[in-house]
Amino acid sequence: MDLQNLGLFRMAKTKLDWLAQRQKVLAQNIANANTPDYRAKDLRELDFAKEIKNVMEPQVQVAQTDPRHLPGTLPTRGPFYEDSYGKPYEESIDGNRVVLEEQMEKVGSVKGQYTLALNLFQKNVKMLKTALGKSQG
Amino acid sequence: MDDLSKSSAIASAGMKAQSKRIRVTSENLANANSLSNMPGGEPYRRKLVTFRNLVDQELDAVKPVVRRMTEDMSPFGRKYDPGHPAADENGYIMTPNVNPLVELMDLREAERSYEANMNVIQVSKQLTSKTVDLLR
Repeated sequence: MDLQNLGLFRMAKTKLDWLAQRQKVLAQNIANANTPDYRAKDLRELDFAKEIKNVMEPQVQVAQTDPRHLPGTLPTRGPFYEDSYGKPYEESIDGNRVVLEEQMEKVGSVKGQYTLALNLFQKNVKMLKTALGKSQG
Repeated sequence: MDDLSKSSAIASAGMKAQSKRIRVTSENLANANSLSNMPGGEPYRRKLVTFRNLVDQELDAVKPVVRRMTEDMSPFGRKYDPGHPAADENGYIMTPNVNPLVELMDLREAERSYEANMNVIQVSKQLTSKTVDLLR
């Protein structure tokens, strides 16, 4: 049985992927908190309806058909859209647009949501086990 | 590498850059009173650290690295001390262009960024271990 065929599992997995990628983006923001001209980035809000569409129409990527082809120098976008957002409420003299407090708050929220999605995943597994009559927990 | 270990790696790159900054700041602070011992000689000149972005192909992200260290070309201070070996004919000596207050604030900022990076590593680690716990 493939758990991915069940909607709930697929949603939990999408959410976990999104959160992991967001954690990476936030880590990048925090690491560059003192780099001149760096702009804080964030992921677009997760939209399940859109995600389903993306599965049907995958992103277009440049193919490397020969081992001598060079990869691009820009970081590729993950499966979710990454963007530097509008106006920050603080910009330092060197043009840096990272507000550490804001980023830390986001890291905290990622942690909470990740735990939530994981727990949902676990509960679903338990529910399946109950249906199978194998477990008492 | 998965995204969570990537975020730890990015954060450690940030910590490395910040610790270099702390090192240079402490060098400035330690030399805040280093004078020359020859008449007309130059005292300690303040060093500066600047960061720049570097795209890391493996991490697929931009990480901060320290640019070549530069020197602060702002003018030295002057102090009247005719008995000093470095005093010029008018009795003045040049003092380093280090302002301990500025250095301390720089140190504090670097410390704060360092801690934020450490926090990111901690959270990433917790999330990874929670994911592994799904196997139990």
